[in-house]
Amino acid sequence: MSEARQIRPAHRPAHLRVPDFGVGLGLRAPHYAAIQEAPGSVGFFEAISENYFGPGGRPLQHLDRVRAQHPLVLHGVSLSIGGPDEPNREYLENLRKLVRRVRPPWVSDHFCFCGAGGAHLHDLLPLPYTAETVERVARRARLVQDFLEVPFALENTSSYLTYSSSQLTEWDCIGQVAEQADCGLLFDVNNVWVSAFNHGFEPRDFVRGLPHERILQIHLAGHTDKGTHLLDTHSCAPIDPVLELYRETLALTGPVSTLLEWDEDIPAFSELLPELARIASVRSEVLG
Amino acid sequence: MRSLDGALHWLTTQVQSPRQLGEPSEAERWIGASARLTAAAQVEIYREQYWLRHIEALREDFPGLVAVLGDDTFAHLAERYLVAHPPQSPTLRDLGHALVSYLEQRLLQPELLLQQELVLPHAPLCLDMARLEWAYVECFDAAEAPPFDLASLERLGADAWAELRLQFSPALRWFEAHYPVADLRRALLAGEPFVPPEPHYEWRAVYRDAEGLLWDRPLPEAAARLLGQLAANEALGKACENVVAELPAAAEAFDRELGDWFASFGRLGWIVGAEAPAIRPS
Repeated sequence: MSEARQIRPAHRPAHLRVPDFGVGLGLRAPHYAAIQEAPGSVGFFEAISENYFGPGGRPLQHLDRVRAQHPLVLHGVSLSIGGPDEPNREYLENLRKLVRRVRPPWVSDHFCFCGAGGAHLHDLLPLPYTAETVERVARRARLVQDFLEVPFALENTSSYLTYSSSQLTEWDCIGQVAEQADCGLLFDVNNVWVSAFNHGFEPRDFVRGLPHERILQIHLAGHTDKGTHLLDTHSCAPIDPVLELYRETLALTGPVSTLLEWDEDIPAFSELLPELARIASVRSEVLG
Repeated sequence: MRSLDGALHWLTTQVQSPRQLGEPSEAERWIGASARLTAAAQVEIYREQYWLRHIEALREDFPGLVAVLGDDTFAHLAERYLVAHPPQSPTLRDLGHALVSYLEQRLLQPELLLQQELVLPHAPLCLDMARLEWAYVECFDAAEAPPFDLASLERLGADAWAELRLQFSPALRWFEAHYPVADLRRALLAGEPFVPPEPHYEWRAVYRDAEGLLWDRPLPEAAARLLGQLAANEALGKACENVVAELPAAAEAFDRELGDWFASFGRLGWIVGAEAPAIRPS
């Protein structure tokens, strides 16, 4: 088991010093109206970048309104940073256009690939954990961060398969990527819990093994027990053991903006506020 | 060879397959051992999610088509469509981009339906519905364009009108339909049961208004054909001639209604630019 490191945010690389917005919520279309009626009730919002790539219409109108009242960060799901193909130039241009419109304090996507040979699976598929993957993803992450001119963070995904070619642990692999790319990390606590169950590793090893000073944001969500495996469905609140792992994470990172994701069976906005308060309470207990 | 890209290409192919992995040893070549799941079962989780996710995304974009076909038949159509047009865009918004042409092709060549064991009841109606619903998708997030002030055209002389070229809103589509699909769609989405409608020939426009709301409305055939000519950057005079050549009855409609059409197009925000000798920037 790797030794825990107590890191204060001040030790972050200068270009990764971003604000702590407290507890936020993933921006979803069913909540647009309620958000307008309750400005300031949430610490920050995170928008899925690709949902706002269209050049006009209501999505951008809503995004502008949310941005006018709340801190907003962008989170992509389609960059495919580890895939066989180099990052798509048109995709990056669209993302940079959105970044210039929204001016988020950081942008994130996933440590994964989304397809090969021109196919796009719209999923976050795991990568083999090898030195070749580290080299590839680090090179591209640096390129993306330079291109967007804003701190860029990679998120650990939940996974349901492992490759026979993997030579590193997932946390060593993504940690090395972040160090070599000099980029940030978005740490998804629920994804660690899901992958740890599916692959039989100790989730605390993952938490302790990361370069904590690079964690710019934390994700929390719920998952579904399918019997043979856990599935990252974002369809319920995070379970208590995930919040306990979050508590341990915060003790290592210090104050980091934390976001609740909810994508299936989405409750009314007002019903999510108590969940955000529960997360805020854990934060207060750890951070004082 | 177990190269990085070899693994990623192999997994992509397996995930996109409509059928489960056949040979377990093939998966074991690439996928690591797990105490919980076989190598093939690990891949199957992703394959199953791929099909669920993409068929659901098509359901969301084509709810009227789902209501006409029923869930199972729509899912079968969606699966065959996705095999023919696997997703390549980073956004799911583009997923249904070829469904209209896919259906058109199968109406022209019914043997394709047999080859693919695809039963498509009410096929012409389905094609009209797909055209309507894809027009809605395209207008939803098309580029913004401020409406053009038609008052600036009032000083144009008759010759200049003939030379007038117009630009239309990116959030405007129009199409020819053989069934009253727009009214049918509204009824179906309101929860009414599907009853096959009688054929009804019409042209219909779909557009987004200044508030970002989406609408559809019927268009006179001559007006629709004129829009087509003008959108192809034909000058107004020549555009009218071309329409009358293919639809002689349009001549009377132009004499009687052209001014009203233009006023309506302008009021609805459909016209976003105009170029004529007298108003061309110096």
